[in-house]
Amino acid sequence: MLNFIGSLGNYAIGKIASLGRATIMLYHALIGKPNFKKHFGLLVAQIYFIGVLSIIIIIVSGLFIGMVLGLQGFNILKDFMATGSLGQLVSLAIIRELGPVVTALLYAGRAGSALTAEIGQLKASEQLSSMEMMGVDPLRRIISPRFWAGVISMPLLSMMFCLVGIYGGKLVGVDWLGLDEGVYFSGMQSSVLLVDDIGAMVVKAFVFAIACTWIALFNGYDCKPTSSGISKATTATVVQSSLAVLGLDFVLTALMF
Amino acid sequence: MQQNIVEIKNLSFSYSGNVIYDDISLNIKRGQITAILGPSGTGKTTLLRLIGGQLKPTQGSIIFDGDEINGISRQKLYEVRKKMSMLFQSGALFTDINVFENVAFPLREHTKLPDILIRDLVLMKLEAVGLRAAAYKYPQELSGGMARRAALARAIALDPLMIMYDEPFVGQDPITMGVLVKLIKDLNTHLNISSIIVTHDVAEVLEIAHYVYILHNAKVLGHGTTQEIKNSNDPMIKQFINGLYDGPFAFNLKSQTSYIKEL
Repeated sequence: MLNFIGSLGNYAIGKIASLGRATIMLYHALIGKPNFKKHFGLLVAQIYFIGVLSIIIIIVSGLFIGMVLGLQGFNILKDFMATGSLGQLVSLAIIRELGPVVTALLYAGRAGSALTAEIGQLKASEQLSSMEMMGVDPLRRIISPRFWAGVISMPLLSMMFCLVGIYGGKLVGVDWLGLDEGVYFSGMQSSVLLVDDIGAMVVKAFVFAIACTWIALFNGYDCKPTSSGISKATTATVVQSSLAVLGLDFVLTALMF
Repeated sequence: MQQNIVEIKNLSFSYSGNVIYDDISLNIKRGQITAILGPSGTGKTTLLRLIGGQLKPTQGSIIFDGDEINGISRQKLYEVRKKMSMLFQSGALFTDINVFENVAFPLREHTKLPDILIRDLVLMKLEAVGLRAAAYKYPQELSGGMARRAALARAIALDPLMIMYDEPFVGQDPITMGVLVKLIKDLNTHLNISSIIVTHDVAEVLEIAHYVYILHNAKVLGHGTTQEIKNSNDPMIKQFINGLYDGPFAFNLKSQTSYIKEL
């Protein structure tokens, strides 16, 4: 029993200590004036890797989720003779919830795991260490551009997801099942508000971006420098990011809607 | 200017309960090659990391070129590190960029030199280690010895005051080893770079070192000029220098339980 309590306490202390290390890492990565000339190129390269290369998976997922929503929504609404509300249903569901959440989950799997594995490998092969000894701060050279790239990319990806998702709903509802296009889009227009819905979506995406990127970078930076350490860190990134996104989504929804 | 580039005073360091260093003091003279010898597992690499400020000592002071490394601000530490350089055992080249870019990396980070000048500097550094022909190869295309020489070119890119070599001879064939020994000596004489070589390859390092420290059991076992160490009468130093099986050094790690009991 005593052992159990002891190990529980040890676990809690370990978690809190790593939260502290994560905060220190982010602090050192983000303070100080950036050298725009030097860091802009790094940032662009990371936005390409984190953002641009994620576009395909985001667009395909968005399209299919929109199409499924359209199909399910249409079949249910038909029973109530309310298929005219399909545009409202699809656009609100996607903009308020599915857009930012699914984007963040896909981002954690596609970009987050890659970031953790990359930084873990840099650490395991002493490349971070040798950078430190050269007088180049890896937090500012490696961590910082990746963090900003994530924070910039995810809201944009989330917007793309919403756009394509709504179009997917239209593909099924209008082009396949014969709903009037004007009804679909006027339903969307009259119910989606710029600040309350789209603004909230951007805020959510922004918060998820910070959480996912931070988790991914810290797991890589803090991993055991062995092959099993890297694999554990990569798994931890996906698990922790997903849980963080779902938890934060609930909190943000409760606060904003 | 101080005579010693590194002064370590009363340094103690423990890591997760193990005492690695217990109150040791070392001086590294400017412009000399200092060898730090000791059996594997005595934490010789740890000493280099302490000097480089990657690890914090439990106690004591480390002064590099007049700056106290222990307790320095993070920003100042990164400034000081520009004056020193470390050759990692693995080379630790950046694997995503080619040899040329690896050597250019510190120059691009720390100077505002135009590309054309960086190109010339990099080619000069690569020529110094005999790898100009491999400039556009990637680290994974290099042999172990070539990787270490490329890392050496990168280490001298900013013309540091001091280079720390972490086991530079491990796993090298005799010819590469000879090349590395000559390179380290040449860098020391021509560029007047102070060098610390951490190694257990005694024969090679005694050829070029000016001064020798031998570490054992968290203490300095002995130190002196290369001649003094070679002529030492201390049985432990003798055994280590000559690589004898029989002597005061135990082959087995000390165990808590007796062999018979454990079986």
